[in-house]
Amino acid sequence: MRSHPPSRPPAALAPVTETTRAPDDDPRARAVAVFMDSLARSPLPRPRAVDPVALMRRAPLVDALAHLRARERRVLGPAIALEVLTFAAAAAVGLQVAATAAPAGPLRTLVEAAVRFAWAPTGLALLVAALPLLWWIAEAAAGPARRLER
Amino acid sequence: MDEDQFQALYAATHARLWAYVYRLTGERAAADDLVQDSYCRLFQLPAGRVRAGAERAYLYRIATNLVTDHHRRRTRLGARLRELLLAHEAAPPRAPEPGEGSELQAVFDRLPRRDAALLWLAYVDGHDHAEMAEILEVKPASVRVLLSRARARLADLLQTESKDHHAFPPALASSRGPGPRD
Repeated sequence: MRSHPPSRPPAALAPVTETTRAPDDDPRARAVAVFMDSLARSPLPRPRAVDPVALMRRAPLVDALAHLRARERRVLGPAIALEVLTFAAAAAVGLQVAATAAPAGPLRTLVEAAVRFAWAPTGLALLVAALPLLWWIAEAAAGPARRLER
Repeated sequence: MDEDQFQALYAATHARLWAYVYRLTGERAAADDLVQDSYCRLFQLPAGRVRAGAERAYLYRIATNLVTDHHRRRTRLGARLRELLLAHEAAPPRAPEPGEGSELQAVFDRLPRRDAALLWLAYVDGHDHAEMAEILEVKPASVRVLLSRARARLADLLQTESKDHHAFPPALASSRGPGPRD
């Protein structure tokens, strides 16, 4: 009795790419293919020659620099906010000094009112936001780095 | 990745990766720097992070992300905000370098960056859809649609350019018939 060979699973097909695909009937798609082919064949400047061994040696430095930049980016926003708050507080203090030095009269009353108005939001913001911002800056600088592939 | 593997990957991919990054950035110095950074970052990845056999796709992915970061740094604040809102913003205009096929590159620069990357990966580097999905961090099922849209955009650009400037070789002009558009 004749035995049949065991059936084999079909071989996996190689994935189709645009470069291996049959030419398209659509003239627009053909034009795109011709354009991309022309672009690929058009001359390129010569890349800088680098020894891969040098790249491997440089890799830890590049990695460290990327971490540093990521931390810098994380800290930038809170640092700007803190800077703005500090300047606002300095301006309020300046206004306070000006109020004590201002001549008596409507000008002094006006400056004193401005001081009260300026201190309310600035003082509140300093109390509420400054410490969390400082904490955030300290934590973000020491925190985990961003994903390496970025 | 050990040193021998790295050197083999470098030898096999450097020229093509450089061309890809150069076509997306249009600057030789930037392409040099970004390609080198890509290799350095790939080499620094912890063992097991990259699936065996997927090193090339991962390398392209790193390079694509670095190119995106490079463009973000270059564009003005307004353009950056627009980029955040619209993923399909075109690359900023740039002066072509000598001897680079400037007419073709000028058209390529007018494509949205993701379209340009998709078309280059598909038509020039011959990546399959799964690899392109991994490189561009999109779903594999989306690649066909995105590629089809990119193709349509480039075809529209070619049609407009050929009407306006007759800037393309006859092979392109004759291949555009009066047939229906897709």
